[in-house]
Amino acid sequence: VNLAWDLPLEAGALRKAGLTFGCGLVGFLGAGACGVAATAGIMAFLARESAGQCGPCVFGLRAVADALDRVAGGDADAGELARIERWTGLIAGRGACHHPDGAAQLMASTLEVLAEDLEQHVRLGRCAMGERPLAAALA
Amino acid sequence: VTHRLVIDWIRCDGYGLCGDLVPDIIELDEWRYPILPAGPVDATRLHDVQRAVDCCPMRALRLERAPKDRRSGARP
Repeated sequence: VNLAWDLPLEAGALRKAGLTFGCGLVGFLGAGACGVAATAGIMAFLARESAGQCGPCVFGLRAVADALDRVAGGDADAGELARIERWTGLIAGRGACHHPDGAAQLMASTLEVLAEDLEQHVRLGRCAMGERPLAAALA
Repeated sequence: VTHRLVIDWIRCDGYGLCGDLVPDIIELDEWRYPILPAGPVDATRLHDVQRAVDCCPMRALRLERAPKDRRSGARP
């Protein structure tokens, strides 16, 4: 993750580093902000923005967004993260356009980068961000 | 010549008949939309797969002839 901070926000440079621009959205978070809640907001937006043409995007993105919202709000059960991971894996490549691919990519990297925060949300039923600023979570 | 399954996702409405007819080849997700195999269709199962294609109420599924060397299901 630290590597990404030194890269210009440009598709070619990111690609060279084995990264992508994903769905092209950048969300800036304050020091005390919850990365899980912020991602849940973006995923809800991406689910709403589905053109509504292909089932895996319509149902899959909505399911992922709703589940992530439950995680962010502390209402998730123990199996929620596994479901999110499975649904995310079923979205990419199953649509006429690449909107769902970008959304799935954001979710996949969230599962990886914010794994600990997601687990905490599920376990504690709330956000632990107050005790641990986002900068530390990303380091 | 090998054959591979191709789907028009815009047409597919999740009736799921394809997955009911050849469950060992086409898996369905929980909304009954098909999960297609990445590679070519087993030549010995072409008849069954063609039947699944013919039964698609939306005519979304088709069986395409693909050159043997072309990798199918690869994503950019």
